[in-house]
Amino acid sequence: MTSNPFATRHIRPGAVDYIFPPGQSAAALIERLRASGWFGQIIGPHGSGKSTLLAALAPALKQAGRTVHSYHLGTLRQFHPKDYLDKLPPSGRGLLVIDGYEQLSWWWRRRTLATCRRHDIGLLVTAHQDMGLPTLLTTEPTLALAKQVVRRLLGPDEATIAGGDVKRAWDEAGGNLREALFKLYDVYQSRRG
Amino acid sequence: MIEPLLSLCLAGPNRNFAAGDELVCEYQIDAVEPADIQAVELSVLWYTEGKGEEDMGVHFFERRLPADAEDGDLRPMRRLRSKLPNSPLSYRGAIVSVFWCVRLRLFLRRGREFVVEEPFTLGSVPAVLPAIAEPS
Amino acid sequence: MARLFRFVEKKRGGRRTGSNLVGNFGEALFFGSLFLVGMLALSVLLASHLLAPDPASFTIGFGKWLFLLLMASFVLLGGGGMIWTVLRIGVSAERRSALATRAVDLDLMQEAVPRPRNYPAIPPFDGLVNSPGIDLAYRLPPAQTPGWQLLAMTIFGLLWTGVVCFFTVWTISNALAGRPEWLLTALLVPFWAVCYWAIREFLQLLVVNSGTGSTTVEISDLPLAPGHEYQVAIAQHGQLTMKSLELWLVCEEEATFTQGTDIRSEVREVWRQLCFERRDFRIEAGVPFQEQCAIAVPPTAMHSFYSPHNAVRWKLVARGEADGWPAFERGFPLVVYPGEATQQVEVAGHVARAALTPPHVPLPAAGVRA
Repeated sequence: MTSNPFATRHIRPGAVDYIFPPGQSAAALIERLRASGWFGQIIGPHGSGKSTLLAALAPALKQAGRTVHSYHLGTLRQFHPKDYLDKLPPSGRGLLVIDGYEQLSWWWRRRTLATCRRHDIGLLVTAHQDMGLPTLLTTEPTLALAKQVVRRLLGPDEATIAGGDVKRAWDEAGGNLREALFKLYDVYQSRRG
Repeated sequence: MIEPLLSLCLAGPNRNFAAGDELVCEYQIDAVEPADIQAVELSVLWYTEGKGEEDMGVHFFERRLPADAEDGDLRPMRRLRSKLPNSPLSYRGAIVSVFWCVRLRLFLRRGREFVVEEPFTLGSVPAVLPAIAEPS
Repeated sequence: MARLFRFVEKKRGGRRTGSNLVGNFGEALFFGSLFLVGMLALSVLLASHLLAPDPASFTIGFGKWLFLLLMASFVLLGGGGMIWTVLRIGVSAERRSALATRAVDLDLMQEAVPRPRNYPAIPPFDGLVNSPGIDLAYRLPPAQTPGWQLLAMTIFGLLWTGVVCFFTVWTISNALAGRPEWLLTALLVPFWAVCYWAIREFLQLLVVNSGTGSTTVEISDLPLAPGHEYQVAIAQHGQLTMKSLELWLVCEEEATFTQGTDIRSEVREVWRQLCFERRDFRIEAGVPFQEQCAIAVPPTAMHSFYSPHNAVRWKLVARGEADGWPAFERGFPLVVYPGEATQQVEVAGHVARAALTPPHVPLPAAGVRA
């Protein structure tokens, strides 16, 4: 049995390469993060690729000599900010990465920021709205980007999904890239027989 | 740096098995020094694929360290047998699919890992075709 | 013909002649009133104690303690009674009696369910076989107990009404003492609006759940094996003029995906078959409609499957439309084990021809999932 290229295992963050907007790259974003003292945020709506971008930056961060401590905040996960605040290494080349930063309360966000500054550790977050940190990138998926992502996922199987299918899925998903890919899952599943 | 060569194969010509059948597989490792191998894991497992998070169930698992092998060399061919269970059967559904495979994972020094898989089918549940309203 | 309301209700054997809906409504009204009286009285007592200008002039003696205990018991009895009324919706006295009778006749040796062989990733069915049926072996539990929504609304309504009563008495007491609390007075308006909404929702749910009557489904054996036939008995209670009553055998898949704050859960129906259908008939109070039919899971069907984020589920779905009531849909879970045909390497030709037939048009959503 062959795999559906739009299954979650192929579209989850880290499984698909992040496609940078023209003029942007992982190296350029790391430089911008370095210039802001290793404090930054990636903001964008649901399903726009924020977590995928974080996964794409991981190798570049390692190359830049930062020790990354990543935390993904999910609604169902039992998680408390003390879990990472207590484990922060002493000052050095650490970088705390929090995916889903807006889920923390105002108090814990202040405390996280203060602790990172005190320990001389960087902070890189993703959020749906501005969290007051320097913005590295605002993820704004477009139909053209969606088509590029679909072409990469399909590989040699390109003929199964046409450009019109991608547009229809994109429109139905209201511009949410992840939802559009889920809709294309069904289209692919029904056509491969 | 040369990558190790992992050979994994299922005995017999077929990749289709019935519930309760005996699965026989062999594996061998080449192009790597024995001293570089920290561990080898072989598992027979099922996993889900589709629109949900991936779930996994391990039916058979074996982890070998150099101390478990003759002369501490984990590379020579090894044959394993496992009686396949009654469920879950392989399934290709509308939004949930269940696949079976044998997975060989090699752990080398300095944290390097290499994986190969050999898929197979358990049972014979026909695929479910989802209904999609194609645009007129 | 049963009347809506009688001063004296007759018992005819094990049946009552009164309306189930009126009975439940009356009980809710009685217990609700008891709760409200107790809550208001307690609020007055507490408010007068806390707001008394000279606490020394307010002494709690034997009389006051007795009054306190009496009103507290009103609150407990009233609140508990409301919850008890809600929990008993759908459980008939006949069923309780039949079960008690059958329990005496049960042969424990024969009734012991043989433990099945090892079947990983198949949900257990112990919870489905611990309720014996009246006509067939097992009575299936509903997939979604209709009472949970009603129970939640009852508890919320009781708590909210209690709090609002206390603050209302407090505000009035302060106003009478010449110390009006304008902010609290202003807040009472939306508080009472929520109270009104909660009571209205509760009454609506009570009416729907009581009025349409419960649906019970029994089955001759569990777990099911594809390719085999089983008997199913459906009973619809209530006092209804039914436009239609249908029983479907349904297979659905569920997949849950979590990423950050996104929790995406999708349920997709992949197969269904109409097992039973009856149109344009009447159900009288105390005389449930009962019918038996045969069901069979296709021999090449996928078995029930369960993992933390994915599932393949089988269930019986009863759909009904009655005059004057919203359409309802009730699910009864089943467990299907792997079939002999699909456990083999290849499905035999004659079996493959009876395979699941795509494409499939899902059932239209019913008005009320009760």
